[in-house]
Amino acid sequence: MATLWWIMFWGAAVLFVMVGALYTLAWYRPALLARFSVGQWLVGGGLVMPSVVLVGLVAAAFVLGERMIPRPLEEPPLRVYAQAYQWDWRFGYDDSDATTSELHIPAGQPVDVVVTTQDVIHSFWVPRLAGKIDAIPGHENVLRIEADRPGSYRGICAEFCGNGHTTMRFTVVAHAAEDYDNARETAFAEAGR
Amino acid sequence: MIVSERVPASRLMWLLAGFIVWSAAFVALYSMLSIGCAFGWDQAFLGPISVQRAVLVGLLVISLIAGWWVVRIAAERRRAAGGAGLVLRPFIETAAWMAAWAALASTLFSLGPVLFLTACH
Repeated sequence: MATLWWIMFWGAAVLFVMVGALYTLAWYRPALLARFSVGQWLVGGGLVMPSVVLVGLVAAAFVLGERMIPRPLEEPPLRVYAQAYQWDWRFGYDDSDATTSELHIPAGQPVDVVVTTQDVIHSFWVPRLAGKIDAIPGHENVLRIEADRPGSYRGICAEFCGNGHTTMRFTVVAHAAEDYDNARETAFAEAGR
Repeated sequence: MIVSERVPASRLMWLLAGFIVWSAAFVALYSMLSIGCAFGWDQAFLGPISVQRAVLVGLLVISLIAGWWVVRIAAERRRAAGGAGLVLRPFIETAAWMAAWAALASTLFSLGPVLFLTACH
């Protein structure tokens, strides 16, 4: 998702420089700009330019959006479970009944997060790992995430869900594959206390 | 002194008509997308394409026909009011005609991707 951010950043930078150049020209060389008619400015700046920008952004969003879809892999990725409630998260795993308050995943491999909620609509968002996905009551949405390297990745609820929405944060902890089982056992022990 | 022209609602309606078609198409496609995925229409096939894709593309085609119909009527009303070329006169009829074109283009641009994007996962 960082890719889309950079596309938008550089796009905005180019537009900023262009508008700055036009202001400068309008100030120092008004005769240059006066060569174009009002109609040309309206069609060029009001129709053609935004169309080009929008088509580019939409195309980028389509390509990146298709990439986010959890397609079946030859080796099915690890599945973990994220349940939202007002106003916190619980995370579960296939091989244990215990849950944790931080989501533990192995680094360097795709992980499918099955997202749902026990009350209202929330949204699971870890900006550094993937886009947002809504948590819908009675429905399971699957989001594929992957952490390139071990570390802590901050996540938030990205859909307004009531008074506690702004504090509904969580952390995804990615561990080196060989440390994953131990780290999770420790987390279970802490959660059980 | 400002003399304002009285514009009957029926003339103003054609300003909105194209984008009303667009918004109806948007709501129809968005809701049918979710309904179709919930009922597994992407797993059922009509020949080479899924039922889900057939329903969505069918709705898109209906929307484009409706949008085109609005463009034709707006063009006819403008011609009857004496408008021609790319001149903004008579104003309401010309704006309605251009808005109808904009709505038709928007329908194709924002809803056309149902032709190729993944519908459900």
